[in-house]
Amino acid sequence: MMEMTAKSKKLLHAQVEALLRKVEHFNKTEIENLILMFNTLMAEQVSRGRPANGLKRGKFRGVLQGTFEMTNAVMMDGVFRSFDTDGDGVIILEEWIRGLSVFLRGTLEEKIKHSFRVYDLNNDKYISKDEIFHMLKHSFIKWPSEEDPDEGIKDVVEITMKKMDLDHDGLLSYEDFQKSVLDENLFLQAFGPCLPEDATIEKFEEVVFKEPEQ
Amino acid sequence: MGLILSRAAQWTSCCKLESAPLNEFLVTQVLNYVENFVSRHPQEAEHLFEEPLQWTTTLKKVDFKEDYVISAIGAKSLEKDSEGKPLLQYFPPFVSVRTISQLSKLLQLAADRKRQELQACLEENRDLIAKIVGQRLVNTPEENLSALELDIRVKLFILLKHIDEKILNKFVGEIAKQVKLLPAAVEEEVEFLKQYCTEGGKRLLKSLRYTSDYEFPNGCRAPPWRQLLGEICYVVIEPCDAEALYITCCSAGVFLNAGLDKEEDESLYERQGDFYEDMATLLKRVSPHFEKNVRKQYFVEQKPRKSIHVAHVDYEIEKAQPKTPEEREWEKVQQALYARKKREPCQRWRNLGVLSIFGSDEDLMMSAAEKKRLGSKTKVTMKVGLTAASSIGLTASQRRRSIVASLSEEHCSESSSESEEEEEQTERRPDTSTELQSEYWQVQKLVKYLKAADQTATVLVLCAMMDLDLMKEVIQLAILDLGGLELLLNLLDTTDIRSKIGSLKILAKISQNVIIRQTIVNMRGLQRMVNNLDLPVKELQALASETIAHVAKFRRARRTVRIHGGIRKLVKMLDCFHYSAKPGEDMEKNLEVARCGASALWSLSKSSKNKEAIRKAGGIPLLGLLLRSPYEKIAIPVVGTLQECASQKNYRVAIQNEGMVKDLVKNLSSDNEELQMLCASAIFKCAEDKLTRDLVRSHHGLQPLVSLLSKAENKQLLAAATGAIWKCSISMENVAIFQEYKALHMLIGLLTDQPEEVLVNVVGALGQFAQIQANKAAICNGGGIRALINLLNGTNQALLVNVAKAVGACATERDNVARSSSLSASICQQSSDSDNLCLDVGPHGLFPRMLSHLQRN
Repeated sequence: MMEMTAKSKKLLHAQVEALLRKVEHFNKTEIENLILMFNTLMAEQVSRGRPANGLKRGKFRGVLQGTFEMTNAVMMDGVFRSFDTDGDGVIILEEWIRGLSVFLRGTLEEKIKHSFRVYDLNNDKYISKDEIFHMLKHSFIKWPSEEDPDEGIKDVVEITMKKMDLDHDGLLSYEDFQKSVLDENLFLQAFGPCLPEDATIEKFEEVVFKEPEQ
Repeated sequence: MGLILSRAAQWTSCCKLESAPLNEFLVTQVLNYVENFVSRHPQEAEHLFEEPLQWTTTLKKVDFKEDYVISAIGAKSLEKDSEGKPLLQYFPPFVSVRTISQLSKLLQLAADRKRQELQACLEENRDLIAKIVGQRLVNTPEENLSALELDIRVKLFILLKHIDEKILNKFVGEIAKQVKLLPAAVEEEVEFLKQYCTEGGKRLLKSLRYTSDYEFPNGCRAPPWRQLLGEICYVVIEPCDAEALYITCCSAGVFLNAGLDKEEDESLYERQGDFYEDMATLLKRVSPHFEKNVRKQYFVEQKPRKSIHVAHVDYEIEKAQPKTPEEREWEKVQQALYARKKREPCQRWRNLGVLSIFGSDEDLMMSAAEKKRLGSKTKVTMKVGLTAASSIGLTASQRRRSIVASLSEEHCSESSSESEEEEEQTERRPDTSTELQSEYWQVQKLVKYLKAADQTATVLVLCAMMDLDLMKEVIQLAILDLGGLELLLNLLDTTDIRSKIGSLKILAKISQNVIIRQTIVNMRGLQRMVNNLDLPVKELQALASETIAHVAKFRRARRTVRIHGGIRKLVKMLDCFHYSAKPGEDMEKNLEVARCGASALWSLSKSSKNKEAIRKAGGIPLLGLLLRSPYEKIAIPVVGTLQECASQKNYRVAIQNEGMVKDLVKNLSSDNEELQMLCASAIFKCAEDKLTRDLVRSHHGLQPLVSLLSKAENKQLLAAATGAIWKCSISMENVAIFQEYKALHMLIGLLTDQPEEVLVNVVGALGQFAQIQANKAAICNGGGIRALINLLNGTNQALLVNVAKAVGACATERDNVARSSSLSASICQQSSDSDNLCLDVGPHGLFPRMLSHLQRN
């Protein structure tokens, strides 16, 4: 851990206090640890020109890949979009803590919101068939070579859409998605892994939330 | 002969030659060479051994004739060496020999025991060659030998080495001819022979079964320590004309054992007769009926097997041995049987598409060496195997049975008897009509997607599958037939939790189907579910145990779960108050896990070994704890398990000691009839003990039992409640209380129009009530006697016994005797010394009926 001056300590304290009021699921020490992690990541981030005020896409993807074992590029972009609530292309400290609170400790309701944002690729508040197809495009890995895999994928999209599109308007609204997930939890990550596995969460918390060394 | 003894021969642990066919072959070969040695190599035969060969002989003094000097202590040969010592000396029971010619003479003397002598000689002189030519020469490298050529000792050594080699070569040929049974082959033959256990003209055997239902993944059923000896499984066959045969199938062939059945006593494994190459050959030897009829059978089935004849001819030529037509006929049947099972995987498994799982195992089992040995024969048998395959198809379809054994029936059988359950394997082929249904195509499509999909798409396809009507048989069987079941089970081996959950959600439903259940067990599905029980994902635990609860409806399944440690894991799941009992959602999930765990244990507890295993895993106190919980949903499987286990003394004692009687009584007043029934049934079983009867009374359990008597429409509940009342009324204090609630009147009302399970208990209870004077009159006044006497027309033994007791108890009252005479039925005093009969006997009265029953029993 970096040597901390009295000033930076004070700053950290203030940040913790502020975030504690805004974000659920974390206690003081946990927030403190996550801030320190954020600062470390920021320091590692090589930036040309003026320094960014938050984590950039590349760095964040590195975290998702290295720490949360995600591999799917479309999903990682989606998670970035979900974290970056103001859509300015960087993840600032508050977004980081907020995002992780859902990631690690979120309630089902919070996770549904997160997933929906991930899957809504063009951010128009609806998930369309095209979007689903885009996300599932490479999902048939052992398809007979003489057949067109897109046919099968399209059929799966069709079947899933029929099941989840409760108001039959051809698009998945948030309500459609939410109801479907509440009915069948397996739909929470219907179109790709966008939340960490329990085991990964456990590992992460073990490393990051351990009592700071004296 | 060194190599033969050290490499080729099979030795037992105490340095004897095993009596295996291959060893017999070896001894015969050595015998031939020894006998011819003298005439072929006279000079070498006279060469003196470095050390005499000595062994324990069975020869007697009288066996030594001319050429030997017989003395008081033994015998010695007239021939002497240069120093004047005899070449053969005999001091009972030992004989020592110093030249090959003496050895061969001795074998001539032994006449029909010569094999035995030679075998003893080989067994007791393992370093044969070293004794004959000396250790030094044996250790001399090959190339140095030529320098010593002139020495006769060296010549002898070289000769012996040649012989050794020749015999080994022949031996290899023999092995190639040898039968090496594989588990699949044995199973095939068993299946094949089972077809002929039918009644009627086709019948060759009365019955045929394995001693063990459990099949190891390698296909063997023998316990592992016996598998080391090459044993595959044990079969009990009852031929039509002989005692039951206890047969061991091992890789070297089949033989009769010392009566090995359910009990596993080491001595029972011993071989009692010769080796046969398969069961049919053995049966042919011991059962003339089988032999006679198998030929007939053969002619009946000749047509579809025609192609085999052609292939068989090749085989004949290769063997080039003249045979009588009869023998040849038999050979053909053999060949048909044999070739098929050798190369053809079990048809049923093929139908189910299991081969892809087990194929690799099979290859492993047949080691490279074995393949080589089989090499020469393979071509021929392969050909035969292929042609035979088509004919099996016919027989398999003949065996087609009704598709589903009654689902409801098995569920009702809460008794601990295991025999009448799904023991039988149901054979099934899809009906052509169902194949055309759209659901079938739907399933086919989804299975195809499932095969191709990655994790994300897998879950979506599984969700789509859940939307099918999984309780519909067409769909269940389509999933099975199209290879979906295999895929679902394979998902359980992956690391993806969501796929596993999806798969189990489907399995939990389709496992309501008997055939699916059996296939799951055959595909090692239970093992895979048990493996998922201790992953820290509650939903997964719950779903896996729910599915186990469905599958474990027959004995082999229950056994499999136990053997793979499932019971320990399930019991651990009951411990839901253990981990941080946070109220709310967490607790709810824990309770759901516990409920599913208890459901699985309920199914499993129908086997007595499992009851014991649940107890050993510490299940009783946990069940007691859950019983106290206010959740009815949990109480049902918990009480279900307890009442099932209450057939064991250990459990009855524990139910008393852990204070569970109180909770059982409490649940008698629940709104749920199933729970009431289970509680009453548990009390029924436990109330054999006086303490429990007293506890039921002190916890005010008698009144709720009586009020259950009014639920006349639920016969199961009625049977359990009347049973509990019967057993509780063994204590007279309880009878008094039952009286207060007018139980007697209600019981008499239940004497007519009830199923036997209810009647047995009602009459049993009346017998107890009649111990009190006042009740005797009440029973007779209420029309009880007439109803009781009418029950004597039945055949249920338990019922008859109870009726006899009840009537006997009533008949001790004088008034009643008179009253019943007026019913024109004369009553006999059916006291414990039952011969003491009084009063006269009417033609339709009690006495003749009772007597006839007594005689019948």
